[in-house]
Amino acid sequence: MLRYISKRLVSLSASLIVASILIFIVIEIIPGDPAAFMLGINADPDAVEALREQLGLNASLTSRYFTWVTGLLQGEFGISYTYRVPVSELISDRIVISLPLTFYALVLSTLIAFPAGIYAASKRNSLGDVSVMGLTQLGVAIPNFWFAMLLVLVFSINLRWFSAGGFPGWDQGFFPAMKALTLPAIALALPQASILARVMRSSLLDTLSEDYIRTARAKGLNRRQALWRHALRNALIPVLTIIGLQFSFLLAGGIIIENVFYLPGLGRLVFQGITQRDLIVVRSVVILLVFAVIAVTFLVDIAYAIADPRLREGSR
Amino acid sequence: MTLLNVQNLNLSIGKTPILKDISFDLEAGRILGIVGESGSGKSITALSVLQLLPNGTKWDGEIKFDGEDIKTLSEDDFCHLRGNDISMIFQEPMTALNPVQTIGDQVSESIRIHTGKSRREAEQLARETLNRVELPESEFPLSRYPHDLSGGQRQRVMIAMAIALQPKLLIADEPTTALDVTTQAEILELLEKLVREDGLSLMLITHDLAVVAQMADDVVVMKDGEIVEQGASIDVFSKMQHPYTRQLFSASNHVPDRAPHQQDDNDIVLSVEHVSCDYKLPKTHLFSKQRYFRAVDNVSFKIHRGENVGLVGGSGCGKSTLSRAILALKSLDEGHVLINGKTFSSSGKGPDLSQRAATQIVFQDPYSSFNPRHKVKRLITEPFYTKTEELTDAQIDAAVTEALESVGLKAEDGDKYIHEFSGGQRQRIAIARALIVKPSLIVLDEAVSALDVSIRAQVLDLLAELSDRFNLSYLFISHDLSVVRSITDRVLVMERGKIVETGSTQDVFENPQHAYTQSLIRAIPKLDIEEIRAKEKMT
Repeated sequence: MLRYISKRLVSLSASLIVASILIFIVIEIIPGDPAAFMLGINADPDAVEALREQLGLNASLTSRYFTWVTGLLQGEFGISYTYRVPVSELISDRIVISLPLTFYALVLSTLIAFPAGIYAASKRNSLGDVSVMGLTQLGVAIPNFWFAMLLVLVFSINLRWFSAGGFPGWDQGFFPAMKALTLPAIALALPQASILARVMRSSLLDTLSEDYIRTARAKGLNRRQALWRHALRNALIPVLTIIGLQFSFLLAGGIIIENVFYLPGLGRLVFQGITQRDLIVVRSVVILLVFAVIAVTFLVDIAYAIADPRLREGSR
Repeated sequence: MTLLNVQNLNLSIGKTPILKDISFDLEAGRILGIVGESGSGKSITALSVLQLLPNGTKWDGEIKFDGEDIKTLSEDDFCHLRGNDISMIFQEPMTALNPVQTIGDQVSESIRIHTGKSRREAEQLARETLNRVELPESEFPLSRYPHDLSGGQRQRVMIAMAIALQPKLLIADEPTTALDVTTQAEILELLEKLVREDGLSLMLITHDLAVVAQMADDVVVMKDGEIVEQGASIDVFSKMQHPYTRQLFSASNHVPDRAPHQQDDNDIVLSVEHVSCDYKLPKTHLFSKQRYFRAVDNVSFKIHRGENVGLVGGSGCGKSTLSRAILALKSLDEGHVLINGKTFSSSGKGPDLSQRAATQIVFQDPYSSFNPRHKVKRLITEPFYTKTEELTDAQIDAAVTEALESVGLKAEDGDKYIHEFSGGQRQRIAIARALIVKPSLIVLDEAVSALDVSIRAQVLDLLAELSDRFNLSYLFISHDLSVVRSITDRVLVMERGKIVETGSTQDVFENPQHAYTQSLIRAIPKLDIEEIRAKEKMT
């Protein structure tokens, strides 16, 4: 198991290094000079040159890469070109919203998907199965911003249970903050839960037709016992994969939902960074997201190994 | 005393009738063999006793277990019966165990759900049962997972699960079909020993007449969902009243007619010279040296034109790796392979693709070795891609017709899809696909192992005829020694990557020299009518 973990760690660090180089190069070759952009169209070329010097844009490519990476390792992301504040400050302001929102949505999605998928699989082709699958079909088909608007209409405007948007900040207390994140989390979670429930159902159905389930039934287990004791853990591998993918999607892909609910999250920060040529912000957020995705991949890999002993010994 | 009594059992799945008027008894303490080819309904008969039938199954008739009509039992009663009074062993040891649970958990599970024993007591009993099936604690602690056991060891775990609670009836559905011949002999011996020791009854389902003849007290012969003959096995095998029983028997012992052929020592089709193949082993830690497993170790042999050579050995002995190396599907780590005297592949170099068409292969599974989306014509003309010259449409059509007709099919069959053919016909199509480029050598990798005995006999006849007609050479790889014996001129015995014995088929089978060959040949279940008659006279 230790060997498996250390192997995974090595390969993940390698992907992190490759990703950082790729991000750096891609941002470098994108046309548009941040210094010229900051000073406007009619800027004096000397002033632009001076600003380039000040921003460190004139140094060689490799030295700039290493300055950036060593900065990253010390938690320094540089100064935003447009906001003139440290990027780390910008990011930390946003991540305290985006990260809890992602986890909130992921937990909701899992809590909805597992029971729905297991129920549908165990009652295959029954009315219950057909209805659950019909609902998930809807959940996959309807875009999440439409859900979001529907939720706002029902729960904020008509029932007045939640506010329609904005974020009070964590200093107002845990529950008010979570309350503000509830509708966005639901809007994010529903389509994800639909996908996850469908994967759970089909994976479980595949597993239920395996020979070892027949063996379990021949041993005297009833259908329920065979499902819970033998099928579920085997069915988890594809489900874990999807959960891992959903985390990375939710972390940065929530931009539309963030806009609908006026949440100052990471997605909005990247979007603003791109429109304002604030490449240093874009670069930093992207590398941070890559790091998050890689970390989650690592956790999913470990979860695989817990679920499946064959992986621990690297025999598969 | 009758333990199991089946009366007038009729069964259908959806609207398809599967079993027709099945009646038989199984006495306590006896072994009942159920034989028949695939689709004869033997497995469904067993599953109907356990009531583990597929959805949409309807049945009528009477099944009495231990004097009780099973129709009166609820599903809960049945859960209590399964694993406790009736246990079952399945065919596929590779997939019949849960891959994510230890063998200890899986054996003790049935003990715990039926007896309510504590975890420790159940594990204690599981340990004792595993010892009984010859999986000692020193090598097979309860904490091992199925994936690091061999097929035979997994089948022992299955048996341990089945006998842990000393059931009255044990049902074994093709328990040794997936195992090689020495392991098969061991497992059958173990089953027989356990049955005699515990006084339980065994229902042994198999397609292999020889296995039944060796083990069973009584036998039921099934065909197309009906029982065609039943009785004490000595009676059935010595008298063989029904023509189908006789047909099965002769097909099992079938030896195709082959014209004696003259061997020209200078006309060598395949020459394997000092070939070795390695597989990388997983590293123990990140910076450890790469270690290798030598699957094929310095193997050399030749095949003459028109000669049929058998390659036998237990699973994992390296026969598949060797066949892949010959076909240049795996690169060689040492040595050369020459086809028709020219180097085809050698270590460190890729194969000479211009010679690719000279060797073709027929695989084991006629169901998964074809692309179901393509018509037969497209499937069998695929090897033409290995040829460099362009062919006209007329030439291709002529080749398709010739290939299909030479395997006993019609030219029109080229326009059909593969699902329209039976297993035996598909294997004929696989042979046509190999034949179409007129190769010098065909590698037959377990090519008849998945076929029923009567179909197998037909395919063997076809292979023999084609070999004579086209002066074709075969490398016939099989774990089924009786088939190898019937069709090959010469045999190579492989053990742990090395050829340990070689000689004419007759010499090797009648007078094996190497200890491993002797053990292989001893393990073949024999279907010898004279022996059965002699046994009858003695009793």
